[in-house]
Amino acid sequence: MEQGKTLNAFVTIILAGMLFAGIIEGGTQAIQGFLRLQVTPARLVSDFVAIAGVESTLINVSTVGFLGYVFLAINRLKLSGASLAALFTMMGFAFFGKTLFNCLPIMLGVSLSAFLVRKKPRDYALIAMFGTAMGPFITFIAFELGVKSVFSLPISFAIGLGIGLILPPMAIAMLRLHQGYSLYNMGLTAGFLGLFAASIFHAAGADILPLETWGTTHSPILVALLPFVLLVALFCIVMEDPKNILALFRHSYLDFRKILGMSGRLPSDFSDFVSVKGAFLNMIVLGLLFWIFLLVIKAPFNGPVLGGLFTILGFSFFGKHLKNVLPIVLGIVVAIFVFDKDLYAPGPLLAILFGTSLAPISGEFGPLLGFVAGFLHLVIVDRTCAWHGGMALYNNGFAAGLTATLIVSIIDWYRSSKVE
Amino acid sequence: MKRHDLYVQLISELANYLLRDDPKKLVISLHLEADGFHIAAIDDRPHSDEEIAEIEQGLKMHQRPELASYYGTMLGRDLLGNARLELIGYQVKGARVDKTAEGGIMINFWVGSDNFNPAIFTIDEKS
Repeated sequence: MEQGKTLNAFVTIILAGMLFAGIIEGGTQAIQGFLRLQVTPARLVSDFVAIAGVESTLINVSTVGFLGYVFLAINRLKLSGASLAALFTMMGFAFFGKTLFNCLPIMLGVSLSAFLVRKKPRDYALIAMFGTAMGPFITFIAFELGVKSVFSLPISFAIGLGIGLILPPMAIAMLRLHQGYSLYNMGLTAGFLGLFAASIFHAAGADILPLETWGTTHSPILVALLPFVLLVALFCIVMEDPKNILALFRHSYLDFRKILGMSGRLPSDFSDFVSVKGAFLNMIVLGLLFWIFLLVIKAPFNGPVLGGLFTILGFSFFGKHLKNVLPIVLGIVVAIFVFDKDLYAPGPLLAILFGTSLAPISGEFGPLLGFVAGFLHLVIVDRTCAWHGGMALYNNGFAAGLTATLIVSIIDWYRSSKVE
Repeated sequence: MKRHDLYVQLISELANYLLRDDPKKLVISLHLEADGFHIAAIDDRPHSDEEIAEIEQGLKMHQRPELASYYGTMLGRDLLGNARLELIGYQVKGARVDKTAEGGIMINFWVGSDNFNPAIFTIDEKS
């Protein structure tokens, strides 16, 4: 099967699978729950599974995913490693923050920004998709300020457009701070913007109380969701040449080995550089390991945890692999024990999953610096959420961007200033 | 982006790549056309076939507007770590890598608008 068709089939099966599972299992109640999610505060940490149930959340994830997919199609962009990472990030965060309501204005705003500088919306499509991290800010204005809907809805939409308009210049500027060594660049961008947004509201006297909805109920569907995605990935590898499966897996393994040799620095599109089947195998290995790790430590499979897993799956096509991720995770886990944090609390658990944003540091500068980056990440991520009041969904991306900037600036200075 | 900035960034990334192995000679030339431009670089360091294939792969990344306008902005600026020819590849309309008689390589690539056709570039290839 052609590579583009394989990726399209992969995404369509997953989106349709989750939509059907949500509707068939939950019926009209699930649809009502899905509608309720659109008007629910979405700041960190708002576990949609705990708020509206598994089925409603699956419908939300699927619809947000379809929004991203249609957006790519409208912009005539083919599915690739980068767009798959953006799509899976959108889907992942639709488990705990993104909704159709809060994604749309930002995506439109970014597209308008492209017109402002005489580009096409497709040029900023990735910024638009990743930029939906600011979704909770829209929901905050619409439903948390206590203003009448007739005013708050159009205002929140207009502010969403405004945020979209300024995201491209900010995202590009932030990229230069860490030079592509933090994969969630939009996390640093959204966190930076969220810091200003929260400060303005604070100065105006609005209380931004912390939210923490964190589900702990066991749901077999959610535990089985990741293996389902990985099985679809396996099916997609097989479909590339079903008549010659042994040779196909040998080639996939060789390509996977090539991926392990890459640094993962932005933009490392494994499907372009190596192959789609190698990237799928990377996804299976990485996804399975994190899934088993979570099962072993008996972590809850709630919305935010699934969001972390989905984001890892997406970025297994765009920068993350076993070799560059492990030192980061090790650094975070050691920091958790050194500072006596609760491994099962939202902060540390999500740091293990999302801290892998720093993978390019270990990929380029070695596992020791990767370990240090992971360690520092855990220290700072604990504080950053309070800075932006949970308005920016990629809080770990914000912390990872700051950590990467610190490390990169020191290495850059040392290498450029050292007299040879 | 001003054209001038793009020339500087493309040349900077290309030079960063070619200079990493300390060639004794490096010549980079820029030729402007009405609707595009051509950059050529020649060095004198021997390159293995594998390396040439890697260079070609990086430069022949098909045009990716969504990557070029976002991550492509790191082109020629953020030089910590390995040079990334794919950042050039996202921008170019065509590229070619040939071995030279001196033992080095010559890299050619063309950048232009949708109307620009590298095949009808006015500079004679032999010149």
